[in-house]
Amino acid sequence: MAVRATGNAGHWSWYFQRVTGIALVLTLAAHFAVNHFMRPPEAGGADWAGSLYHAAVLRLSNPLYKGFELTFLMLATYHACNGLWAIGRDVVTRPLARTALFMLIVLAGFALAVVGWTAILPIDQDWLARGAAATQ
Amino acid sequence: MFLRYKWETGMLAWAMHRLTGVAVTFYLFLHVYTMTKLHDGEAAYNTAVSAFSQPMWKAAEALLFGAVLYHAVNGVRIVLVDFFGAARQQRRLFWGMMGASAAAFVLGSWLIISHAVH
Amino acid sequence: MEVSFEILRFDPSRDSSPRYQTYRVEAEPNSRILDVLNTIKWEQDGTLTYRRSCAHGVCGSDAVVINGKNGLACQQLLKNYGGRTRFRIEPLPAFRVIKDLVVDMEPFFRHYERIKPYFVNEKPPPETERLQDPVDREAIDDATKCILCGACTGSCPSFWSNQQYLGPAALLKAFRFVFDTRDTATDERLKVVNDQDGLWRCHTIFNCNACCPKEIDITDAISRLKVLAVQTRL
Ligand code: SF4
Ligand code: SF4
Ligand code: FES
Repeated sequence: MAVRATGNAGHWSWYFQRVTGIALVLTLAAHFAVNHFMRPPEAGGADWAGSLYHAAVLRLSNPLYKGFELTFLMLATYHACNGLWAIGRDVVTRPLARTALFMLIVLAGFALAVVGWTAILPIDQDWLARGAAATQ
Repeated sequence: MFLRYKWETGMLAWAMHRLTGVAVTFYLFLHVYTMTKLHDGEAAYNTAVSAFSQPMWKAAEALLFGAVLYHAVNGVRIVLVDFFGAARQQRRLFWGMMGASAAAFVLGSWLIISHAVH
Repeated sequence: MEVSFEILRFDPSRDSSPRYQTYRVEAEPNSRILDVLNTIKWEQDGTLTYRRSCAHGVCGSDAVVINGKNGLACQQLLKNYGGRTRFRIEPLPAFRVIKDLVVDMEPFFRHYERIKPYFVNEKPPPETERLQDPVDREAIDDATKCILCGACTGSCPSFWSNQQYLGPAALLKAFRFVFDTRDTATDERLKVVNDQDGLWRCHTIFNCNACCPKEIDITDAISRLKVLAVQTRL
């Protein structure tokens, strides 16, 4: 035994897949519960007749919940890309092809994150009026 | 080799973990894309999202729920094996957890299909 | 009882592709797969080629695929297969076939050598043995029983798709020395196994555990190595 340092290839990928996995079980449950079983708190009583758009904007204009959703998005993006990368290394063995695949996956992950952030970040209560205006 | 080798619990669990993982990744991309519709105004977003309430999409949603549930439950099993020395119990662990999640799946899909969940 | 043995045969110097050949043999439920192979070779078809030496589960030379699962021909009895009388015997998956059931184990042993499969301790040895606490020894007891048959590595889906992967047998041996309190080459071994084509290609599929003739908990050993490799980096 008596350990000092080890090699440095692949252990973070393995470890964080487990860490984010467990985190996702918890955050996904919350995400699911909030979006499918709960009304936005601002929506009021049982006779609320807001559209799905209303509900989504109300929820996401809460900075806390927005932060939660963005965290959730980052966790999911990392976990998904890291999972694809794990499959990739099982199948692709040539070093150059591996690097190319890695970059492709990272690129896809970044694209997903950027699209997600730009979609959610700017949302606030004003969007309720704006959304309706855009419709007219 | 995959066709000819005997499929036992471990290989089945792994193959399904991969399958559901890739499927949910596709959904993640689709889901984020749907959220960009918020920028196109109320009507556009509502149309985009309500498309999912058609019966075919409801079934797909139930499948998605099943995929996520499986991936989560089997993921916990993997963590138990990796960090808590559950390798010897992996079979019982798998089928026990599958039994429990089957019940959760039936309940969940019923809620989805009966439109109690949107 | 009469059993039929469907054997995957291939002679690269003559055949363009492998083919199944069926033999009918009179045998007892207590006969071993190896006994039946011997009967075929000695009484029916001398060209059938397979590897065996000790015939008692010690040398590790006769791992083959029996009805879709790896096992030692000299260990598995006919009656272990739920009363089946039709058997299908194939060479170990993922290795190059030399002839019939004999495969080229060179990649297997190359990986094995990479993890330094021998005891290392620079300190001069004491007068007698290097003593070890029985409790410490128990941790690696299982792992010392490996006979290097290759059934595990040949059963691993990760190895099927990527033969650069060290494979369960090599990783188990790394575990056997890394968790040996008397050994001092831990760092070097962890450097070899903490690699994209080392530990991290194991996805806890358990095919190795399911077929190991010595019933070693290989997956658990690999998981312990994984956790150790991460801990040393935290
Ligand atoms: S661990 Fe088991 S299956 Fe693998 S080589 Fe050793 S004895 Fe054979
Ligand atoms: S547990 Fe790991 S080493 Fe064993 S068969 Fe599965 S992937 Fe291969
Ligand atoms: S012949 Fe030696 S292990 Fe089977």
